[in-house]
Amino acid sequence: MKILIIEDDPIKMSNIESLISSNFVNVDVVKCISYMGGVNEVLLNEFDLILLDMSLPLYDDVFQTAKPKNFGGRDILKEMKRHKKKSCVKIITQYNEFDDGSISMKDLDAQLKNIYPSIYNGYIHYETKLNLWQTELIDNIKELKK
Amino acid sequence: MIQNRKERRILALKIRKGKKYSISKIKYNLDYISIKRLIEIIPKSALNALFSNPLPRKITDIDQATTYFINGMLLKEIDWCFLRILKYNEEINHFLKLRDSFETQLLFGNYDKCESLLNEIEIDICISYWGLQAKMVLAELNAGTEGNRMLLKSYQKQAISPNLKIMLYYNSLKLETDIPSNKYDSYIDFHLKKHSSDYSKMLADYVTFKFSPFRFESNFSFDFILHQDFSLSVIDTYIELKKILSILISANDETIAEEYIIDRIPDIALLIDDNFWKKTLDLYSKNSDITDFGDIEFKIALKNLADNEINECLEFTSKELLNKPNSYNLYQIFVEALSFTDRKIEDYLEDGSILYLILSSLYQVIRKEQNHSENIEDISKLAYIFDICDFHLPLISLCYSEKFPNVPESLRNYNYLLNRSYSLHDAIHFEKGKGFDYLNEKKLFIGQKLQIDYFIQKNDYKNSLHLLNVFNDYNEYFKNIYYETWYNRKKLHCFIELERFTEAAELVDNYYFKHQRIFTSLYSQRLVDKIIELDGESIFKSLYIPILFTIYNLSSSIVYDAIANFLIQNNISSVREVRSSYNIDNIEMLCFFLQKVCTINNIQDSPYLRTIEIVEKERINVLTQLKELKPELSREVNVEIFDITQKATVRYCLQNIYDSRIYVDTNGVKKVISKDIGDYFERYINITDFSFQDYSIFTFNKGQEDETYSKLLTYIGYFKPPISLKEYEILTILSEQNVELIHPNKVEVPYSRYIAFQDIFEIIKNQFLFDEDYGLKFFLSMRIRHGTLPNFLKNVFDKHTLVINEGINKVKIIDYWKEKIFDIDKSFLNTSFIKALELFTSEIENITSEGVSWVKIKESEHDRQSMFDISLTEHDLFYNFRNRLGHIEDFDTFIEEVFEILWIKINEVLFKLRTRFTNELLTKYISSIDMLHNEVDTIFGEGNFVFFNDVLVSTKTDIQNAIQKSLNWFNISKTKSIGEIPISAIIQTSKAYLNILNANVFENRINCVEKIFFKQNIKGEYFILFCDFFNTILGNVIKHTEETNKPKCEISITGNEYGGLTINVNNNTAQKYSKNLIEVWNKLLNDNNGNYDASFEGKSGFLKIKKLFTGDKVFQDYLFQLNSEENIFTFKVVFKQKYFAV
Repeated sequence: MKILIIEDDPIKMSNIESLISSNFVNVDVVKCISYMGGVNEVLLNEFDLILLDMSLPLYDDVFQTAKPKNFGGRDILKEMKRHKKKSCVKIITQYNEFDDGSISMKDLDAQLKNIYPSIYNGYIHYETKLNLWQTELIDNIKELKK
Repeated sequence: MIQNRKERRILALKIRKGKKYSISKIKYNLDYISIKRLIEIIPKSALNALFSNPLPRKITDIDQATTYFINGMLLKEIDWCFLRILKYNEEINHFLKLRDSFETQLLFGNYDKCESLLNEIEIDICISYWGLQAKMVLAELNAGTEGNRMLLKSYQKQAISPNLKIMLYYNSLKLETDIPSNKYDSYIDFHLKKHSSDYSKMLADYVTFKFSPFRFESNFSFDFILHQDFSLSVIDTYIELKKILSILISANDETIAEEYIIDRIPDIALLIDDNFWKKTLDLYSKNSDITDFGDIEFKIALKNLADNEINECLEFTSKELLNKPNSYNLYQIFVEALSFTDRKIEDYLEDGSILYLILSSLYQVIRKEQNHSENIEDISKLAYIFDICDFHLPLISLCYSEKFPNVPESLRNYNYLLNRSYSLHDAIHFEKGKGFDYLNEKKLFIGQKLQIDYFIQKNDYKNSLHLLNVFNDYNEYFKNIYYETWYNRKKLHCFIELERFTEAAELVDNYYFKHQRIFTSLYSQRLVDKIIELDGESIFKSLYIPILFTIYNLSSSIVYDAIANFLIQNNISSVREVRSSYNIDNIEMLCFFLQKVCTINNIQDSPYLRTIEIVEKERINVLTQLKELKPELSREVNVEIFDITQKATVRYCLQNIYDSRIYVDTNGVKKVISKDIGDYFERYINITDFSFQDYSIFTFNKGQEDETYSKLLTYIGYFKPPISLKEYEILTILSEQNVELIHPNKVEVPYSRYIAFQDIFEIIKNQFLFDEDYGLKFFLSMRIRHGTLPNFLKNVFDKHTLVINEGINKVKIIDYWKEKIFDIDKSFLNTSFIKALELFTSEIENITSEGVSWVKIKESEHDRQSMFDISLTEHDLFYNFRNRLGHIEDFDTFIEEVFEILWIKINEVLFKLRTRFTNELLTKYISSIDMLHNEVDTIFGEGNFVFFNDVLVSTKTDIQNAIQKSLNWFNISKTKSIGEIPISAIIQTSKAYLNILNANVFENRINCVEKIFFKQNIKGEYFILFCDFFNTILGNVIKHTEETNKPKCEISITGNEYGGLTINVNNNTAQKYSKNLIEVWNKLLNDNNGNYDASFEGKSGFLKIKKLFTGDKVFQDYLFQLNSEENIFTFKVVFKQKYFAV
């Protein structure tokens, strides 16, 4: 099984990765830290699951001048649709709202389900204090492995 | 419910005898007819109470009577208003006459007469909110804002009602000449936001509807608005009821019971001399036979215009307007007719009156001149000022039609019903009205125009489009931009409704290409939404779509999607291929696409352009094609190409100064060492046997004299050439076991040579680390410790408004968070929340200070914080002598080798430091954020302050990334090859760098202007030095630039009379510097004998700057000139030569 994680928060990335590696064998995890790195990985390779953050920096460089993309995750979904990519995508986010509170994750989820029904598979709320996200993610991967 | 005559009589008797009765019961339990009959038989004194003092005599009486309200009974409120008006019909009729005269005199500019008329209304009828507003208008016109404010003050002193005070305050604000209408609207928005938790929806509706003249929506709480206004005078009820009814009966809302309202109107139409009621009946009543509204003037004027008899039309309308200036249905006919001629308004009307001002403002708008938006704002402002007069309506209508595709039906209705006649552009009313048959003849332009409007209002877009398509016969009308824009607007509307989106886009694009601009009336959000919905479909095959989105100024992300879809639909791989792969005849469009659509921002999301460098390359390729297609754009294109390359240079340079900040000016250190101990080294290498012993160079450690002295008589060996480490270790082990092997590489020298070596090594090390001009300490201080690192780290928290900086008003912080908090108790913001932030601020300060304290050279054993411990063990030093340095006889090589050893030590420290930053420092920050999270959850309830919690999530990611970025600083700076560079790029680099450290200070706070008149480039080796110079001097500017009065800074670079270069930086500062201090600074900065005293500089950074230039001979001949005058501080440095430039 091949999983792509697109995430710019190092701690979150590492937590997701360790959760996967400690619960599943034979899972190949590929990591990207930006929109551009992620979108290229998505377009060039096939994945069974893509775990996508919503707010992402545009480029990989730690040293960046470009503004971060508030909806980088959504834009990756957009490119996938444009290029007819079929991998299953799960958003994994720490936020309840985006763009200075202008849209809630719930509303964004509804929008994404409507626009990308064949690839977007809902979201997991990542909250370090709770273990819920871990259970959800494990269940999701198990489901996909069936 | 009291329905019969007997009960009514009993109630009337009760009222007449002065017994207690319930007004509320009368209002809500009696039907309309019963109340109407009741009020006929009760005494006048009782009426006053029943109708909540409808004719107040003093300001103190306004909004003081009791009113009764049950939510959700709109028709009851309307009835109640009707009854009030009916009862006081004579007063209303008198008011209408006097108001007509008032409007006439106002339009002629006869303010004294206006004042008398207003007084007459007050004496004859009553005091009203309308009257107070009118007097404030006069005060503003007569005595300006000062006069308006004085009158407000006087009213507020007299008024008792808090509501009235607020209403008067906002009315005064609305009238102020210097406050544009949109700014006034934002004050209202702010007021509503501020009171969002205190105001109910009803009260918010009241404020919005009452305070803003631009609101004609039907979803306001009109029941509450009418009830609220019932506490004002009957005049105010009358005016407000007309507006509300116009909106309600055009809303097609069944619950409003149009028929119910229409049933009430005949009564009022008979008693009140106001066409409004007659026209309402004419429009909505099935049984009306009222047709004549005395609109003969309008008919004549319209016929003149329709028959293209422009001069006659102008003569007639101007004459009519001079006679009756508030015939505002003629305003637009007049200015439209005028737009066909070369005449001016002055040819018909005298300058200086309000009428002239209104007509000229309308005229400017329909001519759609370059400052169109400002002209719309002008008429909008006039509409706001004169919203107490009916003649403000054509102004509001024109604002609407210029800003939006359609004027709302409620406004059209209101405009039509208030008018003395039919309005010019309202086809529905045109259809219903009689006597306009001649306009139906197709040949007539105006007739056909009205028919098009009629079909559109009937949603018959096919017929409308058909008429528009044959409309081209009237070519002469299209020379007039007003009609041309109208035509395009209507056609756009039809295309959108008929879902012909490509044609809609083509229309807008073509209009833009013809006029090089677009009006808001040709902007359609519906078109945008519809096209976006079709994402990926063949509509994107057309180039019109990305062009349309660019013309519409949509976000880069949306324009990028349009480009990407266009490329995919046309099977084109990149924008640079469009010219060769896409078949297009219209060169203008292709050029627009290349120049304005395919910008860096619009294409940078493309997955095929993986780095910013590739994006820039793509853009430059597109620009080069553009130059070939349109050589006249070469200059503009070259400027952009230069800008891109400059940005790329700045980015590269920034990376250069940003990464690897650990630096020692080894050349400088070497020069100092050579000068100081060159002789010493000579003597050191000459100690080869006991024949030369220079005791003077030895330093003995106290208490070890005997041991050392005895060692002086022994030999020590070094290896020449050095041996392998393994071999060295074996020999050392054997030596420790007293087995001395004779190695062919071993050279025996007296022990005194080793002592001299230790001395020299220490001197070089100290110079390397502590030299004030070139050493590590200087660069650590300048590039990392002072300001840079703490600012950079704290900036993360500052950016998210989580820390309370010194000198920052806490109220500002509270206000910021107040706006982000919804549905929870805000009272904690001032108390527990701000305390939590204060605690967090101090935590962050401490953690940051701790991190910074690690980045320091350890100078004593007691210093436990500093991590730069560069001391060598005895064992290491011994090894270095024997097998690494002892054999070197060339001083330069020796120094280089010592430097290399020191760099290795520094690298070890840097590794530890990076690890400590990543682990310890980051963990401390994260746990502080977590603590704050818990604290705020405790204050507001877990998870309740959603926005704040999300901010903390962002802060966590940001601090991780900031620390990750800062780790790059902790690398040894290698000399990177930067070629020659323009000084402008150095300044840009410095500004970009300081923006990173100081929350985009040069974008958000300080306006920094550069004036560069120096065409030579700076040699690459001086790039860092100049960057350090600008970083320090602009860092000072950031610290000291005045906060309050538009902070600004100017950098000028010029050649000078010596043939050198002058840099002049000035900024406005809140601080004042005495002449003496400036003199001392100048003296010390220009002292070249090394007599300057470090203590004089304080935290000015001047000493740092001086040190930058003292080391290199290239800069020897310079002059500093500091000056401070009238809050402007100037820092000037004059280089009398420019060897550093090429």
